[in-house]
Amino acid sequence: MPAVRIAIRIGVVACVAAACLLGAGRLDDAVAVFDFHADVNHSATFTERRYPEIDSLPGAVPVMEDARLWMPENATYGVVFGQRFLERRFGNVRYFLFLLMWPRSQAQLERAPWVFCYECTRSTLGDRYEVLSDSGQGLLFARRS
Amino acid sequence: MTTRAILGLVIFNVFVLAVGAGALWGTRGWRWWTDFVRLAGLAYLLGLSALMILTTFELVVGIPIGFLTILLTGAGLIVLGVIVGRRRGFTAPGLRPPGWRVPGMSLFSALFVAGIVVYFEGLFRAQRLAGVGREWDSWANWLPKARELYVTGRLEPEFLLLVTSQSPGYPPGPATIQAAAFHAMGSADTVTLHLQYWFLAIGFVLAVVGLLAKKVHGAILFPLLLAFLVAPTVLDWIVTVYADLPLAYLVAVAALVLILWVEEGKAWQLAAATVLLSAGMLTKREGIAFGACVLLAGFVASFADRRRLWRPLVAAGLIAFALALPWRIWFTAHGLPGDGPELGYVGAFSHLDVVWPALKLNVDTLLDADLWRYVPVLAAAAIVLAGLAGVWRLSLYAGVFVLAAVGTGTWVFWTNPVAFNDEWPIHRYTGITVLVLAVLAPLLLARAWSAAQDSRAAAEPPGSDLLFRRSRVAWLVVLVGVGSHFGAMLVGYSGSGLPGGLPSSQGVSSCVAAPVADARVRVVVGYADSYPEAMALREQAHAAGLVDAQASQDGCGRVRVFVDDLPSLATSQALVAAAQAAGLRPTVERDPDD
Repeated sequence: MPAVRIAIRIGVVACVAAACLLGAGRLDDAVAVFDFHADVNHSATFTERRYPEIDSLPGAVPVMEDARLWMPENATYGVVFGQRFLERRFGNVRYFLFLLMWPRSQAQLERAPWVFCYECTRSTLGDRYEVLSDSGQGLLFARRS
Repeated sequence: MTTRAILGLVIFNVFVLAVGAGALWGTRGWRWWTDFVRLAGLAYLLGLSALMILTTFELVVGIPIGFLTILLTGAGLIVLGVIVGRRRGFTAPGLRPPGWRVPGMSLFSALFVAGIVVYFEGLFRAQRLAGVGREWDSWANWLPKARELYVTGRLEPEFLLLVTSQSPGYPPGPATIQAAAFHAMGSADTVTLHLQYWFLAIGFVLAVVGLLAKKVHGAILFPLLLAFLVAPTVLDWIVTVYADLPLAYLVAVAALVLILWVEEGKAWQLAAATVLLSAGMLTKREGIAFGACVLLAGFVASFADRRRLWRPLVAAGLIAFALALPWRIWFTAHGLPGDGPELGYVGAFSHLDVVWPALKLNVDTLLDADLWRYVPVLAAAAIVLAGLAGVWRLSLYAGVFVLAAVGTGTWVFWTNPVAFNDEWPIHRYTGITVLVLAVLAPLLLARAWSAAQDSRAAAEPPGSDLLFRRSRVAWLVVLVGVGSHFGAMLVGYSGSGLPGGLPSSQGVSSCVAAPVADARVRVVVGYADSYPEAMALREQAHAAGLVDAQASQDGCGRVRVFVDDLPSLATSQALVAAAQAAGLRPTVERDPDD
């Protein structure tokens, strides 16, 4: 069956030729992608590398970094919401803070010396708390006085 | 992010290679070290798999995973391999066979090998300083587990219940390797951890090249490998700290070595496939599904030899599952929810309307040129060509695997409708199938080519002698690829901070700016690792007369205590003298607010 053999050989050559075109032709794209990542990563700051951008926590990175630098690793902190209904809508805020503040752990507000307040103003927490960091977009980090 | 962390990772990966060498020695042995060099990639993946399996087992039985545990586990595996190898009569290997010379390579192959080298140099630059900010699964799942393991050595059920981005029973394999990497780096450095994925990718490519080097001409192997590596989805995933590509590496190499066992019947090949598949099962829950697909393909491909091959194949499947079973027993015994389908194994049958969309999604994704740049199409053509050429066992194996993987994928998306919510789950699932096809395609094409020849002599590829004749001179082309990164540095290429110098480490020094004449400066009293320490330092500064001293983040993970907004270097001297008189050690930096 020489015709079939020839067809198979042509097919193999065609496959390899296509792979050559794809591989060699797209290598510069791949290197460009890597270079782009390399440049972006090189220009990123410590906090940009450490903290993700979270839609429900706008402007939160400086506050979380302040909180990390304030609280010892065995600290416990509470999470409160400016209004009760927000807790249900933004329940994932607790989870994000758990992940990003680990190994510090969450506790009931009355048992925690530190607190994050979501969708709050400086007056929300009252006089018992000293605000240590304010995102300006509703996220506060405070310490009980 | 430091040179020390990178060095730690290098040492860790050499350790993994040594562990794998132990495993390979116990199962296969090697007469010549040149043989071992060829199989080093496979040894690396075996070492990684063995460590993953054993550290997971240690977790289950309550042994904390610390630096010493990992070291002893690896050392134990090496010793075990050596003892088993000796009992099997393997003698100490020689350096190289008599008359051995550096293998030649065709100029054509060398061009693609150089391309792969350039690819990995670029990948290194991209990953060296990568963060996890855009990697949801990294910071929401793998890294919390890895850090918990790094700090406590354990994964307690209470902790797993808190990490709710995946089910608590999700396999912990990647987290154990990440924790081991943290120990090697000396800290939970989530940035440098990206380089561990660079090592994994290199290990995978070396494993495939080593296994196929004697079976597939470089003119087929290297272009196909490069075509796969530059596929857009691979470029997306290869730089992220996820478990999808590591699982794909394990499954793909297991699939390759399993079909080699079906064809050649060497026991070490089946042993290697077993260990790799088991590690895949501990990497992601899909690992079990893909393990089943590989084994099913193996059963079908070996049907003609079923009396001889099916029994060991059944044993391999059972052993692979048994090695992954302790984790499943552990999380079940602790009452943790499993990682089964969302609709249950029976409940899905009341949602049969989802089957067709699930199948369509799987097939469409597999054939999506924007994701894979036709690699699956090339592999499908290779399957057909091999079938036409009479290489029925290999083409059947690849074909059955694809059908099984698509079928399993259909079941996965049918029983987990939430996976339809975004495009990533199907991309990640399909990527594993594509990777298996990518490693089988060169073998399929090589077999098809050989089968379509009249004589052995004609098995060489067509084309000019200059391009395809093997020659050691072709290695010079590869050397050019190796030197391309340094060449770019020499000509001042700006990527990743390389212009004319060594790569910067982006450590804390990047947050310190040297003072410049006529520019505003600040007097820095010191840096602290926490605000309480910084506040104490600030009090000292106040007492020393630096009443405007303040404390704030320095942008590199520390707190800076400083007096800023000083108009010039000269005006800072009085404050420096006052601080020094109080026993502080102030420095002057440029004030970037200027």
